[in-house]
Amino acid sequence: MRNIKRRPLYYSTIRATGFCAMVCVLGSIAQAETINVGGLSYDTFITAGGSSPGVFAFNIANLTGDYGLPPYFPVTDSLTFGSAILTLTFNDLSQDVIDLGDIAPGFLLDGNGNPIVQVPGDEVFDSAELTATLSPLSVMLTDGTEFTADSSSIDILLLPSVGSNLTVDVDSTTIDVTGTVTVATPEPASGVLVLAGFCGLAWGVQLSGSLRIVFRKRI
Amino acid sequence: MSRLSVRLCHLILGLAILAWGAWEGRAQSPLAVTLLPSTSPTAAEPGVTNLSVTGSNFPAGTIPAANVTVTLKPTGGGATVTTPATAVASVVGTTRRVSFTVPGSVSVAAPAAYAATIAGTTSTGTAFASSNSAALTVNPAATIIIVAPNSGTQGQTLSVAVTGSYSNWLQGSTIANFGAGITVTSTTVTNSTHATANITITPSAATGPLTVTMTTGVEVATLASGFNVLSVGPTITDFNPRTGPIGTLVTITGANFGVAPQISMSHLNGGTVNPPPSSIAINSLSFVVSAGAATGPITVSNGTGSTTSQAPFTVTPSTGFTLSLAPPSANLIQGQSVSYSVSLATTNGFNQLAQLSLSGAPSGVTASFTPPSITTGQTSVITLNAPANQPLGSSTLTITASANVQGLPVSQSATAQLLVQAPTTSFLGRTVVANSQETPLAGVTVTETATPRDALAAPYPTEPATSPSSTCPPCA
Repeated sequence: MRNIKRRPLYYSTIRATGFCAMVCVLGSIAQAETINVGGLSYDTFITAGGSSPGVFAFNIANLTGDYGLPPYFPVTDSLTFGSAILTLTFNDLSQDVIDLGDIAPGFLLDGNGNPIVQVPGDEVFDSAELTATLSPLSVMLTDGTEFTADSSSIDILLLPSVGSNLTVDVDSTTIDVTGTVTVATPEPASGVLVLAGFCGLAWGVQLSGSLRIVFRKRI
Repeated sequence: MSRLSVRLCHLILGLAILAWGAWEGRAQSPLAVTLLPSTSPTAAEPGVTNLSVTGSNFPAGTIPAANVTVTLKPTGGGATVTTPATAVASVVGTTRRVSFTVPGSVSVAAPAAYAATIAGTTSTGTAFASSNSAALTVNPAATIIIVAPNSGTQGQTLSVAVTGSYSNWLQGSTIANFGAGITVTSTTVTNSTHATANITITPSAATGPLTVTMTTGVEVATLASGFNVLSVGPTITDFNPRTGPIGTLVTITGANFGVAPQISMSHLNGGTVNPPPSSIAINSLSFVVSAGAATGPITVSNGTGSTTSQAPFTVTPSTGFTLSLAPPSANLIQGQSVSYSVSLATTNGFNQLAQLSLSGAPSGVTASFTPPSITTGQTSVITLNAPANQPLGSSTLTITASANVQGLPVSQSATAQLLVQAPTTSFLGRTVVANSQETPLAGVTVTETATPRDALAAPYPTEPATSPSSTCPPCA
């Protein structure tokens, strides 16, 4: 027969209450995380035809705010990619530096709704690099947590996935940011309620333990 | 087992079957995919531009493009169209991007708002459908609206500005074409709707309208009869004669007169006259100077251009006259008068009235013409009257006769000497000369007295003023 050692009722209650108090005092839980905020892709805009090589485009998307797409693009606040610069490196290693200005949520398009960065379809590129600054640094995510970027700088490099040159409609990358996700601190009233809830939970656990003992005794 | 237990088991089994069926039904409903608010890009040219719509919560597994259908619905009403996706790419996690092209059959006269939705299945049959739509704007097909200049001559090299509408021209990708006989040496694209093409028209290019085409990949923007090749315009190297009256046959030498050249000269009253060509050759052209033509350069045009001669053609009157004045010299006594006669003659048919005028008469002397206008074969008498205090002296009189021949002014002049003299009572040595007009002689009065005829000694004439030439004897 197992010797069941019973602890006093107040022991578990005090332990649970202490844990809850610690959570309330600490206020939040923080952890490092990388989130996606956009995309950079090399796409066909107009297919080649006749003797014309067609038109390709480097599409940049800021997938935050209204253009957030949870769960993989979870930023509900509007981020701005400020002072964005796209550097295209041709296969002869020459470069074309394009000042894109600030990029708001959505796609980088001109006033007519067409891609801003268009290139002839017969150009050959080794890479494309997007640099910009993030603003603001702290944003809310769809799960209610707050994300704070480690740095205000974005530096995304699009490299060939196959071979040494970018392949249209194949090569793309996400624009991601590393930072810290923080659980929001409850308000004082909410904290009291949470604390009371934990106390009740602890009491309940203790009570169920007592009932279990009574039930066993009946058996 | 009791009957109650059996029924209870049947009930439980039925409920389980119902629950299983409900679960299966739930599993067969399409998975809801959430799309971004708009496509990328947001503008679409039917059959030309590639678009994509990005969404999340796609089912796992392979999604063949052929399994995905994109539905395009005009937000302003109209027919809904569907088109298969051209590609499905995975972005990250359950986020995917579906590429498509608006069917070329979609035609809009003005930009139209559309909403795109998607539906499809994975390769294993898992169905999905978008729970919202992505907005896009369908534009009309690209066209060329302006070509300037829209014509050129054979052999000409020129720059032509081309303006498009809803086009997507790009430097390095867009290719301009002006048709047979025209070589596009370079194309400079300013933006998606403006470009400049440097072209050379071969000398042998066929004349007439040509279609201008701007090709950017599968986008083909055209303008029928957008450019017209003209033949080289006419040139004038010389013409002969350089002067002549109305009716003169003039021959122009030059080049490229064409088959229907038009000749123009200035009109006397403004505007132009267009004498019809008398003969036309490639390098020569003749015409007759028509009535109303005025002195000026000659212009030849043939629809492909025009040219004007450097030198003018001088139009001269077709007829003229000569003027004679007699006597060549006359004396005008103070307080008396003297007359001249002026006559008009022609050798080429002048038959119009010429207006007479006098200049050069000394101040104070008045003149009158009788008649004031004369024509060929007529004579007018000019009477000059001097007041008693008319200063003495000599002057040169100029009589001018002016007429208008076929709109051209024609005038001739004649001169005579006039000597104003004081009255004298001496008749010694004075000579009376008669003329055919029986012009009165100043200071000479011939009075026939009642002297018996036989008392007059011959050879003195009784009417010295009418005799051809006589000398007045000293008066008694």
